[in-house]
Amino acid sequence: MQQTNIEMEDIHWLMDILQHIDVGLVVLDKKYQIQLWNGFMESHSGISPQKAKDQCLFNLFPEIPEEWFRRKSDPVFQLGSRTFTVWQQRPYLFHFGNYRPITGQAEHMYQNTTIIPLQSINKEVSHICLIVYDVTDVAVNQSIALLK
Amino acid sequence: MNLNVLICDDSSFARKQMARSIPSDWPITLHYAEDGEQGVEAIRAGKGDVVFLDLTMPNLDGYGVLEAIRREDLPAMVIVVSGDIQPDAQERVKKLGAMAFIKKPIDAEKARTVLIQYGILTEV
Amino acid sequence: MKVNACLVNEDQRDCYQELVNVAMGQAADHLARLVGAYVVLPIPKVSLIDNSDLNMAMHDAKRDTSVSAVCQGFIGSGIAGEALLLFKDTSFASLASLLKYQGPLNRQMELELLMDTASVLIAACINGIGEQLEIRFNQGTPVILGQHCMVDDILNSRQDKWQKTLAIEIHYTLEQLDVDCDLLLLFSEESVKKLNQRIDFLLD
Repeated sequence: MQQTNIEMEDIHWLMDILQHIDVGLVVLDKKYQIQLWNGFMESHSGISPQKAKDQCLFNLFPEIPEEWFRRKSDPVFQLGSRTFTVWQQRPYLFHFGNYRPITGQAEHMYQNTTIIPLQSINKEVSHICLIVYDVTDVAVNQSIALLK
Repeated sequence: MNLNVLICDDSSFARKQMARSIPSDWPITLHYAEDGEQGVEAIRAGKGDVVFLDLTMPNLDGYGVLEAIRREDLPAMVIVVSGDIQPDAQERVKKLGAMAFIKKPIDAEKARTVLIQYGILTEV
Repeated sequence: MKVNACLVNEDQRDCYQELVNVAMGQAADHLARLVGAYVVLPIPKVSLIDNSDLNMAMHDAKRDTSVSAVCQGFIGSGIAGEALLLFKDTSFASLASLLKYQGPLNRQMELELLMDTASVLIAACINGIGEQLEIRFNQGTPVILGQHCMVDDILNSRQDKWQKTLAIEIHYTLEQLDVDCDLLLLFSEESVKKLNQRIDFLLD
């Protein structure tokens, strides 16, 4: 019984971490419908998890070019290998404002993303997880360095 | 009379791994070749009734060995054991007369399954 | 290239080569499925090189040609390394048509092509090695080292913190197509010691 309690506690911790980690986490199914939407995504988009749930990513965020994103995520579904995008390819996937609206120099948040496969019990990749990193500082600093 | 089995691979680790995967209850005489040229020679000398053949090797690669076997009409049952798992590679070796294809890394289970499937080994 | 017998002996080197052979086959299979063409597999080159040799290794890989390159760090069970992928710039035209990219072949599209192929090749190769050694590797975000530059320019800006490294070179080409890239896997000296322990376990 005690074992079960610890496990339940673990799950609570994991949920808390998922909610508060300063990285965007989105789980998508094969139809690109949102299955998980963490606190970072909610805060920056203003869209609640309840509203995001089961919505197609491309409908909810028309700024994401569907063909481009499918090219990056198809290999994850089909080959089970993770893929990466960097801000040099596209400054951002989600059009979020700068995390520092007063002192920040960029208009918007620059993002790197990683797409990882999530296997179901039968080893098939049924879902993917999109991880969104805020790399605004890196991007701004590199752009300034290039100008010099 | 024991069956002569030849392991043809340029990597000593791969030869060892292959030898370990061969069923221990199979009464055979085991021979080794370290590249394709040695492999063809061994087959000519009657040491390769059954051949476990790698594809990427120096001097003469596995495709070259298969061509030589066909050209000289050598009596060898070839099982290709390769890391090149592209469907194209499997098709090519089958066309060149290989009997079966096993994906590396090899293990005892894979070896036994193929040997039984092609009737080389009878299950006890 | 200097081979340091102290760090890796011949049996270990042979074992590394075979592990990479299997891993790069899996990576080639992934690339082949992505582009729909047959990937020609070479024999991988495993060597111990020191700092100055890296220049040579990369020069051998791409002498006097304009290249674009991306690198990615990976780490698992305390074993750290970097993957470097160098594409001959003449490869992109063929890649664009294989991957059915529409539009003008400019730097931006080349960057997409570089990232798409790098993601697939590097991940599959690293995972392939990891599976055989029972190491789960994490991958960092890829970093673009440069587009349309000479190998020297890529290396000149790098720091020289390390002395010796285990280098694995894989030269991928597509059959009958002008697509040519080199994948270099580099492990730090500390990591080689830990890797050797796992290799010795396999050799026993």
